[in-house]
Amino acid sequence: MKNNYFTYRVFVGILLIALIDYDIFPVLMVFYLLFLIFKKEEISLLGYQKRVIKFFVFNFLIFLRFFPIFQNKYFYFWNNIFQQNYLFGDGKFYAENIFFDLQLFFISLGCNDTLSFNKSPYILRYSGYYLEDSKYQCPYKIPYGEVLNNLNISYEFIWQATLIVAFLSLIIFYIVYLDLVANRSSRDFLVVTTIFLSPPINFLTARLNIDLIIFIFLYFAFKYLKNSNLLNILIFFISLLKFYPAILIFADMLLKLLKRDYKRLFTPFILSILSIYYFFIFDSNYDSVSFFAKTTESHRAFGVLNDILYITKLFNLNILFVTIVLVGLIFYFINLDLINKNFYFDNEQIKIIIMFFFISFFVNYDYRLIVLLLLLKNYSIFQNKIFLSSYLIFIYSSPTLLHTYTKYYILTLQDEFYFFDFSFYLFLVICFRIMINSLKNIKKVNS
Amino acid sequence: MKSNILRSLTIFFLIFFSYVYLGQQKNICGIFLAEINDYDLQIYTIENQFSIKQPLNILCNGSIVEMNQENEFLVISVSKRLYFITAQILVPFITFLIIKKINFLNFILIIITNTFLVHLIFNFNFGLNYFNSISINQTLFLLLLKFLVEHEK
Repeated sequence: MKNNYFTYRVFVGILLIALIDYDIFPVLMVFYLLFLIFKKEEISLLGYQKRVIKFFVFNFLIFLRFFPIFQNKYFYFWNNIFQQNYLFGDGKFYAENIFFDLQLFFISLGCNDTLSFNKSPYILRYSGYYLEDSKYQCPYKIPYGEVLNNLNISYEFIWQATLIVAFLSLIIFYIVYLDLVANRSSRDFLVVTTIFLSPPINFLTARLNIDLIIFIFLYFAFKYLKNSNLLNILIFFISLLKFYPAILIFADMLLKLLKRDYKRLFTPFILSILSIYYFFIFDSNYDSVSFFAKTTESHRAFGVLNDILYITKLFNLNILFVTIVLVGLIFYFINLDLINKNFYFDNEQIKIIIMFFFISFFVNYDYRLIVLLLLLKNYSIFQNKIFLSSYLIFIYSSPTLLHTYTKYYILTLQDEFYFFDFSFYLFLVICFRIMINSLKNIKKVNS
Repeated sequence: MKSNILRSLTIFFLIFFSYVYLGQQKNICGIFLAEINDYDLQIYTIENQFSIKQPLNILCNGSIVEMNQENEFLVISVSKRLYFITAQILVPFITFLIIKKINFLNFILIIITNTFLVHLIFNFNFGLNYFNSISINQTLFLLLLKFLVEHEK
């Protein structure tokens, strides 16, 4: 197998472009990836070449995010390495509101501290550099799980907590990356690397939403907890922060029913009941979901419900009619039988895909696509070119590049353009088809 | 031979259509957003009044209806429905259907044609975005779908 210097150099060249202007990066990378997937001859990277790429990923995920925080004159790195989803002023992105979601998360915990009420407002870091100060005054509640209303940190500790948790999360995320690329072929090494640098992951690590922390817990739980009861209990506790991981427990119950494994059904059944009870008993849980029952920024969100709401609004149609048409189209394509019938998800992947289906029905910001990285652990599914390419096109078009309409960014920001993401539906249909094959196979094996 | 004639005719009509389209726009619609270089203005949209009775309004997507320098805002006429149907469904699908054989050159040609048409219809500046995001996303989807149907079955 000959070493392919050209492939390596082009790859590194595209990576370097991500440092200059990340908005150019997804377009070039998606073409490169398709070339890589459909290239017939194998490629082989040398040890030092892999080390160079790993070093780049370390710098991209950790060093370039933290160095400017301590040396503020290098803030322009933040402008370069992030997709400019949130634009201010005259269409430029400024390095403000660093790790925005995590800061909000800790403001919410800080406001639970009874001593916080007479304190001066928290000024978002680094608010006020370019724009007016963004101030947050208690009481403030972030729309996540009810359990967060019972936790608190010192109000003075919000920024320090943000930095510590962000640093640890990104370090562990990098360890996950190293774990996933270990012992992979050169092609798979490159593909996994690009997934870690993709737009939804970039979006997530800029905002530092707690979805990253949830992902880390789920990744290590799936890796090390072989006892399904312990795994379900851990997932239950994680779902107290945000509800969606609880679907993994429901999926586990479904799998056990299909396998007629009634003896081990008790724990997931009880945990499912508890999850439903937890969700419905507190208004704050319900509020966090109902927050999304409206059209939500199609250029950086995905979900069938979101599309239904947009199309209904756009054409003044009946919501039921639009739902029937859209769901009908999905089922039509599923029925086309576009993928090989001997192609299955394993049990863990079935649970993850069921969770993906669940969240796909509602409205989610694109950073939640991090849950799809859980599929990478068992890489066999990615040997299928169709699955892999639909997966990559979907994540590389989420968020879209609509914000790069410079002068028209205001129109995008005001949600004036509706973007219908075909690649989302294609990926959904392919997953659905493989899911049907997988469930049929389980039933056949156990009958 | 037949496909060459068809292709030449398509390109000819595209150029002809563009010529007529651009020529008529100036007379009917006035100033377009693309001609304004003031980045500080707030932009609002109003639904384009395109209908069977007023078909020429279709040319005026992106034209300025109201401009207020004092309050620093302007209102442009845009048909969101037309944008959705044309830019995201008709243009990518039709160009894709015209070019049957998929190779790298044709693929790039589809993306450039789609980008051009979307820019033309909606009066976007060229160079606004590196490529038109919509064209790329939808064309990649179509390419994959075609590949899927041809090779995986």
